[in-house]
Amino acid sequence: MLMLRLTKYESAGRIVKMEVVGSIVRGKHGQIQIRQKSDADIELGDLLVVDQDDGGYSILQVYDLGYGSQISPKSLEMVSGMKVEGFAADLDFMDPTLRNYILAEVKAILNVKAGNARVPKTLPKFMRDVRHITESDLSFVTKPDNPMFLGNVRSGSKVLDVEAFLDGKKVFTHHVLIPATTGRGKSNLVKVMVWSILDNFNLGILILDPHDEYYGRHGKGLKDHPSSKQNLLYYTPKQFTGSFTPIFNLRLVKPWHFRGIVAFTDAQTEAMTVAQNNYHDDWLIAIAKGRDLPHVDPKTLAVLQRKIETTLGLYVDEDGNIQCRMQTFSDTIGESTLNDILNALESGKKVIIDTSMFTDQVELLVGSIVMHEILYRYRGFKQEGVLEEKPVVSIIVEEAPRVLSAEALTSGSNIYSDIAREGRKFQIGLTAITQLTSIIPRTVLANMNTKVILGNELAPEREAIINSAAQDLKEDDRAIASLDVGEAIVSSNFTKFAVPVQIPLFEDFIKRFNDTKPKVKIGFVG
Amino acid sequence: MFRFAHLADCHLGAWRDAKLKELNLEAFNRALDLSVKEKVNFIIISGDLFHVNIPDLGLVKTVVEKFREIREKGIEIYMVYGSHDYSPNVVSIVDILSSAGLFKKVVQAEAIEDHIRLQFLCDDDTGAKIVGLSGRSGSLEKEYFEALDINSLQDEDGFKIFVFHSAVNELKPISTASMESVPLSYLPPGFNYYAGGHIHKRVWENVKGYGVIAYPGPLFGATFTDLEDTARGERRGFYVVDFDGELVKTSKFIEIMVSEVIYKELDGEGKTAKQVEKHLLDLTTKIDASGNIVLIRVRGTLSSGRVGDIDFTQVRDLLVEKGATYVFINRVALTTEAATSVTLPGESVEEIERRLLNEVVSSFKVDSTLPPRVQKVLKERLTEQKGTELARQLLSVLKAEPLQDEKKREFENRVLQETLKVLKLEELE
Repeated sequence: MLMLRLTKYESAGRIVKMEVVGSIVRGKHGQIQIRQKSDADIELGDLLVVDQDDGGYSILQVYDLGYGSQISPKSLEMVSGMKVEGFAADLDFMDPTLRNYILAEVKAILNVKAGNARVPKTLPKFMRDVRHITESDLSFVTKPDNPMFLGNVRSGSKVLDVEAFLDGKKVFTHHVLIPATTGRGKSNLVKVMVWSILDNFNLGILILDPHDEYYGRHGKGLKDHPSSKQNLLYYTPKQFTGSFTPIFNLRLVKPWHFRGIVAFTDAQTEAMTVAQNNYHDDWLIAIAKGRDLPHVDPKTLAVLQRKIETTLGLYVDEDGNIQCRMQTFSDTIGESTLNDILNALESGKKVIIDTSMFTDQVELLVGSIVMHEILYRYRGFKQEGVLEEKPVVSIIVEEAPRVLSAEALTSGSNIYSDIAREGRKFQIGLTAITQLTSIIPRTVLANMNTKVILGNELAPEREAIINSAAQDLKEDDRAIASLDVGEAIVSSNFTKFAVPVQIPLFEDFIKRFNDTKPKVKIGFVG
Repeated sequence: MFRFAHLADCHLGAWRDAKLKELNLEAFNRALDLSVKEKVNFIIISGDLFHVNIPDLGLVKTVVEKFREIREKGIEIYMVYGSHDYSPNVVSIVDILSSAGLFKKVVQAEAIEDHIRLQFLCDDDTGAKIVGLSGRSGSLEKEYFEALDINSLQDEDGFKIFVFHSAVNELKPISTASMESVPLSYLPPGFNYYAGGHIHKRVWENVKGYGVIAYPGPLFGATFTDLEDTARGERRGFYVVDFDGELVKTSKFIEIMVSEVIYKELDGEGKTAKQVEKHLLDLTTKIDASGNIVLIRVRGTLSSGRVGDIDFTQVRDLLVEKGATYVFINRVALTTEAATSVTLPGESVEEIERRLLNEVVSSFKVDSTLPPRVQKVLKERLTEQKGTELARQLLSVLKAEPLQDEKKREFENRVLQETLKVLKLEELE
């Protein structure tokens, strides 16, 4: 017969009774075993609590589950055989709930006392009762400055009524990695994150959007935010009222914007320098039009011209004018585009560039142009001593290994790796989204101080993530593998522990901000 | 084949100096005379005909006479307001002239709930269908662009012209990068010609999905920056466009040059006040000032002496003696070491005011302890472009001076009423 066992703890001055789910039976620091109570339900990733005598408590996290039994394996196999072979269908052990049970492997992640949470340096009391966590156990979790919402704290698959925020300014300055395989909710996460900071002017975010999914051209998206009109700029080559056209004047493109994005030989790089020295801002136009470059081998110039034309989609029409197949570059218009984007970011606005019609190289080049120039401006602000007054600027890049993998970096660094390495000195951050963490060098991963880990079934990828996490996650391999869609573990230098969260579905999340205004007849003068 | 002229940004009445005022008017008259000579069927003026909404009446009289002369030749004039000659509070002279039948305002709008439907005007002579949106100070016309019923505009067939007075982000030159603007996507697609005003540089671009988007720029210029650009080679004038009833066929830019502008820069960095003065005097001997406008910009930080120690009057007098039509020495960017923080680019008073107000408004933070509803209203009205515009309007109202014979109490009451109106607080009266 089952007995309901309750444990008592104090919450907000009240004694609360909670059902016991198990008891600590053995283990060592970081590897504690709990015998699960027979009618209790403990899941991988569950947060459990052990109350201490001094009014404090320890929070434990389940990272593995296994069977335990007081009966020898041979006897177990015999009884099992008799049952399944039909010799004695109702055969059972005496006091089965006492003799067979589940053992949960847990690690202590926090000791909490009087609202202060610390990393545990002691073991919870042996044979002590364990209960599920409640919202009040996480009352020390407070809303930081520049709150960026990530989801609700989760215990296993149970979602708690505790919202998880990070300080966007700190997090973005120190770079973010979002590792996950396809379909685990990366873009949903980014939309929720950016939505929650859309009206925070301390955070300027540039999103390179290769799938045109963040703005919400065809469904719900960041455009539906109440402040989107003021704080969100959407650049798309597709006709859409209110959007901006991502067209960059060729005179704004500098040779160094190509560094690490397009591979040039030394001779070609020199030719580019010669072009710039001779034609100044018109250097690209000069190359595209095949103008003479002193001391440059005509063959080198011809190859360079073809490479530039192919990369940027340029050609010279029958009237001798430069045209761009992708309409992304122009020698006549788009002079203010870069300035507009930089000003928006510098004002803490969010800028989405729909790169779905761009080639990979053009997408990365556009990001490179913007980030080179923002870095240049921010270096200036640092020199002037006004950097701290400026918002943090972060660029969100999908398929980050294109610019951060060891292979991509063999030919030298690029602006994205520069930002990962030294951007934080200038309040410039990188938010890298990737399916393949393992091919990003550890030196780069080590600089990504916040990782929002979504489900990943690939063991080498999990290993790379765990090895570079801010907290010790070596026991969390299974927990990461078992993360369902929308579930994540947030490992950050700015959290006291690796926080399991449930990211809400964007469409549900934004319902709480429903700001449907009645149609107002517009007053017209003019 | 039909033909029209496209002018913009005449800014009549922009200059205080009589000579510059006269040259500006001369450029305007010349543009209209040349339009007649080019046998245009009609003329489009894309806003900012006048520099202010109620200009000097003597100037208005001259313009009325010129327009009447054009109208008597059977040439129709189509126009929108610009950001300068429009006022939300009082009747503009443009309204009066339009009511008198001197030209047609092409903004025929109907507000239907949350959107705006524009009605085309059909030019009797050519069948061209013309429609437009006026400019408003601080690009407040953005909300009208947002609310435009694009479909009704696209569905109209024939040769269509869209007249507007707004900078377009994708087309504005780098030198006007800080200018408020609207994205290209706000323009209704499918027109044959987009007759733009507001950008003081010449732009002619055939944009995919649209058509020709053109800005002729000012005929003379309204600021010293404009005149500097002229001196640097920016051509001033207007477009003459030929069309066959369906497509733009050919076009040409007709240059208006009423006076040559000579622009010189002098770097005073590290020099003493006396050295700068000497350089300026030397410069006067090298300038062919006769019949020309002379602009000199002096910049840098003096190593010793004060800006006031330099005898600019003597330099100016020398150039006038040499026959200069007008001399302006811009020394705003010239400072002494003790006053390096007071540096402002030499722009018009209005531009400087706007820049300073922008700075102040951008540093304004809504108190986060206020109720969310109040925060929202404050953010909407006091931040960003709307905040700057409100501040600018307030400044304009508070700068008012008593009218002749106006009693003090009446004056105070008038300013109060205007202020409440700007703040949209009339109900508190």
